[in-house]
Amino acid sequence: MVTLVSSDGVSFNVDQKVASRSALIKNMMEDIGEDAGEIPVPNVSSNVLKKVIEYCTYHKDDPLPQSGEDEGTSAADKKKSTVIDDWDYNFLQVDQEMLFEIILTANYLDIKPLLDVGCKTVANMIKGKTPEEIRRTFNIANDFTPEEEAQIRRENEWAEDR
Amino acid sequence: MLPPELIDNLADYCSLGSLYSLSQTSTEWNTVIDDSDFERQLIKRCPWYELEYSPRNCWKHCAKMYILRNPGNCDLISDFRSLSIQPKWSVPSQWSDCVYPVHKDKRLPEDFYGLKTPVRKQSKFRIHNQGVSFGKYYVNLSVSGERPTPEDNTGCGAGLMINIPEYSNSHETMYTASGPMVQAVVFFNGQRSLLVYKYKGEERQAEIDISQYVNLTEQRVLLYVSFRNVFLVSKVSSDDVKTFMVSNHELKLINTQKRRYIPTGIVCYDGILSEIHFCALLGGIDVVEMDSAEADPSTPFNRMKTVIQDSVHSRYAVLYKQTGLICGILDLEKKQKMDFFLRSSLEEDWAHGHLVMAGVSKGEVGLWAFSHAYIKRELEKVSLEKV
Repeated sequence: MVTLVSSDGVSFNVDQKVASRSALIKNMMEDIGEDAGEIPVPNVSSNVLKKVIEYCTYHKDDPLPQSGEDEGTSAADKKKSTVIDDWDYNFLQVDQEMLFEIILTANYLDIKPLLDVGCKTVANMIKGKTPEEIRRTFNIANDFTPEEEAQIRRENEWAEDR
Repeated sequence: MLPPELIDNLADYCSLGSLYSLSQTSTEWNTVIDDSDFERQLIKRCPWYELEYSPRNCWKHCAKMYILRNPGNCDLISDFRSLSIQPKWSVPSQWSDCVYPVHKDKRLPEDFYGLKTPVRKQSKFRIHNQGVSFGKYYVNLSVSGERPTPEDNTGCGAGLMINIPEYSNSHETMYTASGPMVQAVVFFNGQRSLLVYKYKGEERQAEIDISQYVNLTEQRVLLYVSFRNVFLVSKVSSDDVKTFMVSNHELKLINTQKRRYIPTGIVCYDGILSEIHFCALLGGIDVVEMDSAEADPSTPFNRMKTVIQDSVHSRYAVLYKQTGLICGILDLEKKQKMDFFLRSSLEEDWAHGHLVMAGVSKGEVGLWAFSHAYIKRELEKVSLEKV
């Protein structure tokens, strides 16, 4: 068992197998040895860490992604499967802030499958939307000046550019 | 609020259209998604895309045109439609016939740019950019009186030098192709099947061992070049035909299809590969995207033609008969084709000995046809001057 401590000071006791879904923590445990004790996870609040641990617990028996994987081919393979399995889909039915926090945490803790599935979810939210719809979906402020906006409109009208 | 630091991970899952839309939401996203993101995603789909030689000035525009031109990928297209882009000038979905103007016995305009012609060693004359030469006599056909530089319009020939070892059947297993930008040779050197090619302007020629893909002693292959691309088509079994393309100095399989007929040529524009089929019997040029279902025509097509995609105006490809006569002009940008076979009057003109040059002047394609009598008169003038 290892203890992960969130930024707001909440401790979570987790199985080593679960914790090692995170390549960062796995390396840390290997470095410090069996008796790792408490591992602080700064930047990650307890509610997010709880969700991430939930993911790691469910997926604890999955084969670990190959570290020596060729970047090029794996990217192409990922591209093909934007399909998300049911459990992961339901797991990520959270509010946007939580979704982004989970993705950022997955990135920080180096949990590749979670990062992938999180990005897939966001990509699906963008898919087929106009810039205006994307702004509404993600609460992005349109800060283009009228001139820039006109420029963009021109770019979109004119396909013949050289 | 979507955190921009996610973009590097996110971009891999976004379609080109999504990336494009996202880049237009705010100044921050417009900066975060830079040209390299569009490059990375486009290269994943067309590893052969070269911005330097494309008609576009940045990867973002390349990506946009690729999406607009790629009807095969419905997902992309619907994705992009959501941008509510209504181009004033759009990419037509179908190829249409068109007629380019024919100027008869008119001198070539000053800004005339001749589309590249094939090299014909046996020919009595050579077509240059601004005129024709007959042996030692050069006939200037341009309005400007200047004699052009020796850089002529025969174009083809990157200067490939190949030493093929003595091999009894080498002529049977050797295929060559040359265009204005690249020359290529495929041959069996007694042990291995090799593809050797050289780009114009580059000092070194490249060599790829293609033994693992084709066995030239047993298989028939076809070699095509267009612009800077080298294609190899080989029949695997009785009906499986594989198309390979050189990309980053590797031979890559790009298409496997059951085919009855092999295309006359393959061209590449805006990352999209198109096959050109020329039917000699019925006349007519067919241009189809390589991955589309119609890629294999049902009527027998004639391969005894050369397709040359121009080195400066890559949007134009010209079809030549073996005799060196032009038999079609394609505008790959506007998806328009001029098929001379359908223009019987022109065909008759040629029968009466016209010399026809295809070229671009003031951004428009045209044909400049010179009658036998006109050329003869000009030639007489030149030969008199010499004496």
